[in-house]
Amino acid sequence: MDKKVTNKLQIGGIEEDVLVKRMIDGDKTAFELLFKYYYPGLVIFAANIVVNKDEAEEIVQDFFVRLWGNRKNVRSNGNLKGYFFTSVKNRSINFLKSNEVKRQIIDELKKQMESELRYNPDVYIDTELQRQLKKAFAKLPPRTAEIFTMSRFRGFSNTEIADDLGLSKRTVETQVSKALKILRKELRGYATLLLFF
Amino acid sequence: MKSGNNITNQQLSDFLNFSAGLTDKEKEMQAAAMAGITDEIDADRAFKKVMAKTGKQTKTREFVHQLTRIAAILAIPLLIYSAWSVYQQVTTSQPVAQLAEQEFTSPTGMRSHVILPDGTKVWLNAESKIRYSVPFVLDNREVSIEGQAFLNVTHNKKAPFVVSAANTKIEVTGTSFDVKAYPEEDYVSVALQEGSVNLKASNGEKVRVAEMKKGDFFVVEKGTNKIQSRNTSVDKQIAWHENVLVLDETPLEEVAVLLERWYGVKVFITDETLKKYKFSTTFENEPLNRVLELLELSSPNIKFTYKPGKLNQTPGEKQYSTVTISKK
Repeated sequence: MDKKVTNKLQIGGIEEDVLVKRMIDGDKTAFELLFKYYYPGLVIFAANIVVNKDEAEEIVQDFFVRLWGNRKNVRSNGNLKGYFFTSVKNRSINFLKSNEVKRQIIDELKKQMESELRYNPDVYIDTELQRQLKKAFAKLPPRTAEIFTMSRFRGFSNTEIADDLGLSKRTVETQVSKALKILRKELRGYATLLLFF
Repeated sequence: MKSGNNITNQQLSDFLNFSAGLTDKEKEMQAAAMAGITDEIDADRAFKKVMAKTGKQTKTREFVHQLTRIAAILAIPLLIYSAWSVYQQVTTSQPVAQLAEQEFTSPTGMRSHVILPDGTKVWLNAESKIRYSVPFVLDNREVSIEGQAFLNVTHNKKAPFVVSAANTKIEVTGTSFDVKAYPEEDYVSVALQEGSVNLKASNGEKVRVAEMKKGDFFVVEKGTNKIQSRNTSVDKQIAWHENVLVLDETPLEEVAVLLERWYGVKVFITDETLKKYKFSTTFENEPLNRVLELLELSSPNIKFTYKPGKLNQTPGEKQYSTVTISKK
């Protein structure tokens, strides 16, 4: 369902700008709509930084608790998506720092965040980019898609997948590289997939 | 909640290495997979957690003593079930209950403000309720009201907004009007501030219709369906929604009812002869004791005695504050 009318984002049939204004005025329903629209995407986005889905949920929830408490100071300037994703990004990186993650690793992360598609907010909310990506992903043969989704993305670590499946870490690593090989072979047929971003 | 430092280092490092080794096409698929697993996140559960945490942050108003209680308008938004359920249908394929009903009640002693899914603003007077079925979609804006409400209806020529109150149907497209239909009274009244309104009164067989213009005040009798126009100021009728209590040649027995609703007290009139005495005065944001003082001052031989109810009562035991009106 295309939710966009003219160029203004609508959530649940109401323009986002209107929802923001109402939220600032204390309308909890507007807050709820905004939350439910952005929350899942923000969580997976954060999970790509802290590599832990539970932590990611806490980080995003804390952000929204703060947002509500501070709502009177929110300036509605039309780029809510940018504000949300940047805030969650900063909180996630701070989380890593406070967990004494090595400087080099954080630097490597920051480098990837500059260029990699999976850190683009438009991947995580209903945009043209997301629709194109999902369409292309849907074209993958089921086995490939499953391997892709199962390997790195659900558990975010080989250790967790190994635990989940009762396999040794080595087995999982082998599986993942096997999957990558299959992937590369199967994706060769999709050379015509052109995505805009 | 600090996860072991080494685990996070290792996890993140593995993850980054893996990602670095992907081709551009594979990175696109990785991003697509990320977009896909957002469906697995339970936003409803998360929202409840967030609400629980925000609840601890906001201060609750405390009314220390009934005497100093100032009746205030609370802004309580309705849950926009309709809009949200449509959104859910798009992202998941869970069936959504179609004809559920949403109801909101403003209790005695309180006036409330709600906003409907289409943006229509509704002020509910004390002891009033509004009901509508969800999804509250644009081509079916129908609500039913008991008690008194002032509505500022979002303009939409293609989708009439219909209010059902007792035996009366009020149809508008974009308007501000007041409707009063308390179950214990034998009439429904409508005061039109802005816009135009079509009234329909029916008791099953006969239907009477009337068209209202700005500034009109019509009264519909519940029993006979008769619609009559009265010469009353619309402003006086709707003042309550701005927290102004207006008495305009109002007989004492009606004043008693108004006080009961407005302040949530029980009023007793001990002398029958006092009931017809008329009051004309306006109160804006006044606490009850002040109102009673002024009423006593403005009447030659009527006494208003206030007795506060017990606070900190045991659950289930209601101890209302009372006002007794007697001859001096």
